[in-house]
Amino acid sequence: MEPSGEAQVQIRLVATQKKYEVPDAPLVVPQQLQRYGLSEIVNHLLGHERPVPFDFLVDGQFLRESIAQYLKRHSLSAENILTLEYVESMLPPTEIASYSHDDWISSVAAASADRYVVGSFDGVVRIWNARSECEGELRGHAAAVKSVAAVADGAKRGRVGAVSGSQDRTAIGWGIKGKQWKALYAARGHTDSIEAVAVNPGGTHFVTASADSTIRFWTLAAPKQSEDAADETPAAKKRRGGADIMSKAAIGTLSGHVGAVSSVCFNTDEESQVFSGGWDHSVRAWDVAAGVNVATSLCDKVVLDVAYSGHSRLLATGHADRAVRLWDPRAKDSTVVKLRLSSHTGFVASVSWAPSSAHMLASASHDGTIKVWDIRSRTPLYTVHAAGDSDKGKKLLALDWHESLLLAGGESGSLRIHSVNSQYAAGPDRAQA
Amino acid sequence: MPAKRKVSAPKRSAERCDAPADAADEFPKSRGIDVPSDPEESDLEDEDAVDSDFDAALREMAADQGFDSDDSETFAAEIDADADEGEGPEDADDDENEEGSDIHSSDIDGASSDDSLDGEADSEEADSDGDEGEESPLVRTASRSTDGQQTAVGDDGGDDKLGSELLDGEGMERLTIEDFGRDITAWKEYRKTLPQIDPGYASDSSTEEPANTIGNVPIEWYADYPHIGYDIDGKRIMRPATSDELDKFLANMDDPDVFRTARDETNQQDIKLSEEEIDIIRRIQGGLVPDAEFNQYEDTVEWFTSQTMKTSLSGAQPHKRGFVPSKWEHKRMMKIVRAIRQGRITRSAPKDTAPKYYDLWADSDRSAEAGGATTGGRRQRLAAPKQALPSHEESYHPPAEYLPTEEEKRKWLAADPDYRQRNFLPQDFGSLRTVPGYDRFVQERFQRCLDLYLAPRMRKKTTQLDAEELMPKLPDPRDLRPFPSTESLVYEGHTGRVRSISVDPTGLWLLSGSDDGTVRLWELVTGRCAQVWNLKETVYRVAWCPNAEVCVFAAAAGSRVVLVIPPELCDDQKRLVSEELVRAGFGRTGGGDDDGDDDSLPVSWDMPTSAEQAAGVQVSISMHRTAKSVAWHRRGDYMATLTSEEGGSAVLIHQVSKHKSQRPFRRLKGAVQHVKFHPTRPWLLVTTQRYVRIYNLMQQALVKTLQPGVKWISSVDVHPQGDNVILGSYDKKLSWFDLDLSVKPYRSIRYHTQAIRQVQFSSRFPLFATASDDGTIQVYHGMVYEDLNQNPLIVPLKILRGHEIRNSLGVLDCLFHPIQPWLLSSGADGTIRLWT
Repeated sequence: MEPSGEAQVQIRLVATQKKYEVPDAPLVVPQQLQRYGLSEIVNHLLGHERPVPFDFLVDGQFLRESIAQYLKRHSLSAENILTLEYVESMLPPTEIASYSHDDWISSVAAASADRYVVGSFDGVVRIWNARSECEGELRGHAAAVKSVAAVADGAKRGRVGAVSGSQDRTAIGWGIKGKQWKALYAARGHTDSIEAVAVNPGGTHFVTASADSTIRFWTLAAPKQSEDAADETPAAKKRRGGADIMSKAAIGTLSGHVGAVSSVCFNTDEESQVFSGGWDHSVRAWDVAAGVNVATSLCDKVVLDVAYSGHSRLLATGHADRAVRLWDPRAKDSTVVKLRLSSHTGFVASVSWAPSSAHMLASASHDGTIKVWDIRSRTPLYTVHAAGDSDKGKKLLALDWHESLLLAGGESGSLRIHSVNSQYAAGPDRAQA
Repeated sequence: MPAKRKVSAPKRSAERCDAPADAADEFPKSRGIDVPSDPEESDLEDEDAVDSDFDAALREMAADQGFDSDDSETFAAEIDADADEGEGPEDADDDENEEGSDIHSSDIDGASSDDSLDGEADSEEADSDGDEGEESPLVRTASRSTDGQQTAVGDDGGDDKLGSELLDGEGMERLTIEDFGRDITAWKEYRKTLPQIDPGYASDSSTEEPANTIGNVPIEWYADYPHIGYDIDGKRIMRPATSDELDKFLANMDDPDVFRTARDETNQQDIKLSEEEIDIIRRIQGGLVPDAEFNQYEDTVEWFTSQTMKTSLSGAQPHKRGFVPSKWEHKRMMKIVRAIRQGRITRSAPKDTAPKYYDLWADSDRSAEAGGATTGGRRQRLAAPKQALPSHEESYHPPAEYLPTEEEKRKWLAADPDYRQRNFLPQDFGSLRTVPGYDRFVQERFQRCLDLYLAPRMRKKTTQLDAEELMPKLPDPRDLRPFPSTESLVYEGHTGRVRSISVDPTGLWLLSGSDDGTVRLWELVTGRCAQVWNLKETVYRVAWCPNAEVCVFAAAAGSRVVLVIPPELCDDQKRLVSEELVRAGFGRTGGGDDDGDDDSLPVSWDMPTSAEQAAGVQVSISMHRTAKSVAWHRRGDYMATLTSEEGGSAVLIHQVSKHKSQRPFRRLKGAVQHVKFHPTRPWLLVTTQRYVRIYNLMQQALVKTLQPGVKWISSVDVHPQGDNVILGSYDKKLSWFDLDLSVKPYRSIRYHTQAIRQVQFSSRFPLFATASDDGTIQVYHGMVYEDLNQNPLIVPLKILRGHEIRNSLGVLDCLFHPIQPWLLSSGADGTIRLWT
């Protein structure tokens, strides 16, 4: 490709993925080139017949402008050789399925590529498989289900496959019992709506976050017999009457939040650590074993969702001020927000890290969009309109990124499943590792 | 001797003349040296006494006559100068007096005066006069004038003249200092400076000791005595041995100076006369002037000028008559006064003093000065506009290209003079001497005058005002975060106007009441409608019980108020407490009617229908009229309701736990719009159309009446700290009251273009908001400081737009989230919106 612009710059192209490596020699290219032009150069060098789109990184940041603008913004000299790292571009997520529900979807969790647990405001938890079949409609909650969590190997007999928390102040563990999904137990103890449920990566425990400002810690396994919560009043027990499912009591209560706790997630690296965010604007780290609040970070805005990535070791939070914030939980100064991603125009109801990438992040908002972020860039990579029919409301309330699937649901009642460029999602970091 | 007595006696003041007169009488025989010594001393004292008296009298008179103190000063100075300038005038005066006294004495005594003695007395008097003169010239002249009056009646013509000259008011007035100075100089020129007289000891016989002190008695009286008299010590002077006639003769024969020897009988001595003395004798005998040195024909010294001086230098005292107000003048004055009183003399009309021509610009400078336009008193002139330099066109002989063509000339002539580009046509005269006179001189001068007349007279100071400076200094809204700024959620579901919204104490649930007869419960953060109660009548007001222990809300629908415990919202514990609170009253008999005096209360506490009970409606309070408003007390047991009823029954206070209703007011003036409990004190705010009355429920007394000065109050809210009240009105005004300060608004704000429907404080943040029929909600920062001296700070922050206007109704209710800086609003378009 002939350099045509008057101002030129020397670049060196470095491949992150082995299969796209090019000879390590400086090239002279016009400064006016943008991502597309550079991508063409790489494809030309590789001799691809079908061009593969690439993204270019300078100093760990995506190049989102022309080289000239980049140099000018960073006041760099055009004399030096600019090192450009390139990765295969992520392709836009493509919608592969849409499962319709009667009521608003409040939460979604994928246990595997073939099993999705969807909690709905009609109080029913539904299990879907990839073939658009509803494996089970799990009824047991008296009020809207606010949160569900799936256990990876929960399909086995006698094991708990999903946990759902509801506004009826109980969390129910669901399992397959005689080829049927059944409620194995009801975790009782919260005095207000359960807003979030999270299962630890090992599949042994789960935590629930509630509007009563506490977080409770439970074992996942079904109890042998009904356990009574220590603080349950006789009247309440009487009122509950002879419910046919066993009760389960919490093994620990974490209290420290001042308002409702809106979300909770496990630290995938440290089994005993839990992160939570709440209406008191705080993001807290807890040691569930000890039952103590390890760290507290404040940000002035209501936290609606938290998610932790084991790859980047960062905590992502979705906020009522329409922003996604990234925190480093290991940082000493707990008030520092590492990055603030703002592009949504509504509450960020849910955030989810890419399961295999240190940089990829997805967020779902009340504005009806899913945004996929690469945290090396402040602008979203893709914005997916997943709201569905406009007349039924567009708010997205739930999001889960499971391997190459992006599941989102909300007010419209339809569960949208998008496929993400799995190659990319798995790609760069594995290659680095 | 008699002359001497006559002269000295009048010098004494009238009141003290007795003693010296007596003293003088005691020495009838002793004449000459001894006698005058004592009286003279007394005279001196007297004159001192007279001095002050006279001076005072003089000043008084001067004052009477209308002299200023300045004038009298001048007068004194005048006389002073007279005294200082020499002795000549005095001497002349003395001579005058001498004459007078002589005449007098001759009149009385009829004896011939002794010249020599008179002269002696004169010289003594002159001496004493001189002494006095140094001390007080005024006294001297005064004494002399009295002298004159007493002794020489016919001689006071001169004095009179002097007095009249000096004291003639008009004459005085005409005099000026310049006149006076001129006279003095003239007089000085005339005056001859005489050499000082040096009285040598040799020539002064008075220094010789008079050996014999017998005085002026014939020596013959001592002829029989061995002594010829007494010396000054009283010892006898023995008669010198006298030689007999023969010896004398012989001695005379021998003495060549015998012809110049005279016999002093008194001392019985021979005195040899000197040559000068002989010469004097000879000259006397020859009828010549005795003193050889005396120039008999010396030039006249003009002690007084022959010219009439304006300021006479006479030392003569003005006559006393001059000080007495004139009787005739007085009569004449009174005549005039009477004439004025009777109106015969009228004041003539004031003359028109305005000048015919005046400075057109006189005002302009003054006004400019008043305006502070001048600097340092200098006039600020308007600089004339700079004239353009003459160009070729103005030349008398311009180059050909500057000369207008025929067409241009025609155009110029056709054009209106005011719109011509030039006021002349370039002309070619060939040479300067052919240039004619300027024919439009008069017109231009007239035009110039018109321009001047019409020109602005004042330099107008243009005020450089920056619009920014006029704005009140308010903090930047960006510094006052957080406050609601964007619409985050829309709660849709109602099919009618949403009249009222309420958020539960935890901030998670939202309640709304609508015209469609339903009450809806929303999950605040997702916008999910969790429950709907159909109450079948317009729901005017919904209100959560503020007690966080219970989970109850009240809704005013139609003519009843229902208390609802929403099922599945609270845990069992809370539900039990709530039910206890709400239903405990059913155990009591008859609700609110059990109090005998409250029979007329139009209230009944009823059990709702079973269908309603299933939906959570626990109690229904029925009233006769439409319930318009429900307000909870902060403790959550008492509830105030307002119905559309007339009179005192409109406002009722209900105790939920006892199902008891009370009527706090027997009568109520005006149509009550709102009732509200004060957040910190036991006060009830009753809002009528024009006023907000605050009643103390404990003392059952009116605390104060807020007078916002608006036509129709729509809504009231009290600051959570309790000292400030905001008030919205249908005439678009928002009023802020400081209850401690005044019953008048601390601030009135009018930003809305339509009626204000609701005003609300935030319970947690320094914010308040107003909702209006113009479809907007305005958010303000309303900081109330702990420091009572600091006024509340009110900063408009944000106008929130989003609600649609339906039937000219916009936003009907707004409410701050109890925990977050969020705002909820409900509108006539059937939506509720969350602003964050």
